[in-house]
Amino acid sequence: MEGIVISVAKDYSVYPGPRYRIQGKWSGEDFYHVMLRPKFLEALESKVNLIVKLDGVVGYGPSFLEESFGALAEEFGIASVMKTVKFESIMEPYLVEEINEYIKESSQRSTNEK
Amino acid sequence: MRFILKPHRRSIRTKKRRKIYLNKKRKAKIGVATKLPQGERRRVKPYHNPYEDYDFVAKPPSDCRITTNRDRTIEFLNSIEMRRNVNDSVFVELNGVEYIDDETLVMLLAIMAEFHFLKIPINGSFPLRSAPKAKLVNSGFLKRLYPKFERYTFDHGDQIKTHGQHVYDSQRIATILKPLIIQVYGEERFCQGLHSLITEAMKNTITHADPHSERESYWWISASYDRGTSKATVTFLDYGVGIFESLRTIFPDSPGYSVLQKLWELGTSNAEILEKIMLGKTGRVSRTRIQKHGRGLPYMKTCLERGFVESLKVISNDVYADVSGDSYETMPHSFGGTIIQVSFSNNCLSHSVCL
Repeated sequence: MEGIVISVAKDYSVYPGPRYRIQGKWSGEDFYHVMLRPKFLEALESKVNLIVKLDGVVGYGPSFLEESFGALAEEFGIASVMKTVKFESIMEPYLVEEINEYIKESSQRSTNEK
Repeated sequence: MRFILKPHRRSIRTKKRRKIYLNKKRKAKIGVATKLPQGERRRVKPYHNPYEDYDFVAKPPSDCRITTNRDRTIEFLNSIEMRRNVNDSVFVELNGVEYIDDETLVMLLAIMAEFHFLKIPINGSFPLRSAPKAKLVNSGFLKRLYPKFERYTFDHGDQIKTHGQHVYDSQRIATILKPLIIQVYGEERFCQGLHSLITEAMKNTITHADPHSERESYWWISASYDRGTSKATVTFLDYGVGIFESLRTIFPDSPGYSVLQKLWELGTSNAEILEKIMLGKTGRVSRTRIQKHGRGLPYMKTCLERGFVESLKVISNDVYADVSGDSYETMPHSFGGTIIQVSFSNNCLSHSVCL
C-alpha cells in the first residue's frame, strides 16, 4: 500500500502515554500535534494515504488513541480521516476497530456541539 | 579428683557468661550504672514502653491478608487511616500477625508514607513469627519512607517491587512489568493489555484521586511472582477517596450524571453501580466535565475479556469486585482509595517482541 507511513513505535515512542500533555510524556495530545496532524496534512496535500503502523509499543491506553485519532476526526471530519488514514496492526488487530469507533464518536460529538 | 567431661566444662562457662549477662540486664532494668571506665560511665535507661509515645495502637488481625480475611484487614487499615485525618500518632503492633500478604504490605506502606508526608509520627513492631517478619523485611518495606523523594523504590530480588509516584509514567510501568513478564513467559514479551490496564489505573489516580487534596496523589504498585502457581500478581493502589466518593462530586454536565442520579435515587448500591459501569450499561461515566472521558473502567474489563490477564479485582470504598468471577459485593467497611489487582500466567495473551 503506497503512501506516507508512520510507525508509532519507531517514529514516536514505544511507551504511549496519557491523554494530555499536562499529564505526562508521550501523550495522545502530543502525538497528535507533533506527528499525526502534520503527516495527515502532508498526505492530504499529496493525495496519498497515511498509513499508521500500530505495532511495537508496550500498550495503548484508550485515552491516548481517542485523544490523537479522535482529535483528527474532530478537526478534519470523519469522511476525510476514514478515506486518508489506514491502520496496520499484526499484534493487535482489534485496535483498528477500536480506533474507528473513537473516530466516529468524536465526529458525532463535534457535530452535536456545532 | 573430679572428672569433668568436655561438654559439661563448656556448659559451665556458658552458664557463667549467662549469669553475667542477666545481671547486667537486671541492673539496666532498674537503672543502675554499669561498671564502665570513668569517662564512659553513663546511666543505662530504664525499660520504656513504646506505646506510651503514641496516641493510638493499631492491632491487626493475626491473618492480615486481603484475600482471606478481607473485612478485618480493611477495618484494621481504616483504623490507621482515620487517625491520619485527626493527626494522631500511631503505633502499628504487628507482633501477633501470623500471615500477611503483598497487598496488605503495599497498603501499609502507602499509609505510612502519608503519615510521613504529613509529619505525623508512625512506627511499628515486627511480627514475632518468622515467616511474616521475613516477608516484611525482605520486601524492603522499611528502607526509606522520606516524602521528599519523588519515588519510593523497594527492590528485593524478584519477590516484591513497590513503587510510589505521583506522575504518569508509562515507561516506568513497563520497567516494573518487564522482569515479571520474563519470569512468567521465560522471555521478554509484549503484554499490551496488561500494560494498558495498569496505566489506565494510573491515569485515573492522577485525574480523579482526591479533588480536594492539596498534595499530588501517589500511586503504588506491588508486583510479585508466585513460583508455586507460576502466576504473577500486580497490585495497583491509590489512597485517594475511592471511585464512588469521587463520583459523588460529579457535575450536572459530566458524562453519566443523569444515569448516576437515577441509580442513586433508586437506592442502587455502589457494588451494583460498579457492575453496570464495567458492563458498559451506564455509558461513559466521569467526574470531569469532559464528554470524551469515562472509558477507563470498562476498558479494564475489555483487557480481561481479550485474555491479557486471568483475574481482575477492584476494591474501592465499600465495594469488592471480583470482575473475573462476576462477583460484586458490598463490604461492611469502606476503603478510602482504590485497589486494582490483576494476575496473569503464561496462558495469557502476549506477543513476541521480535514480530
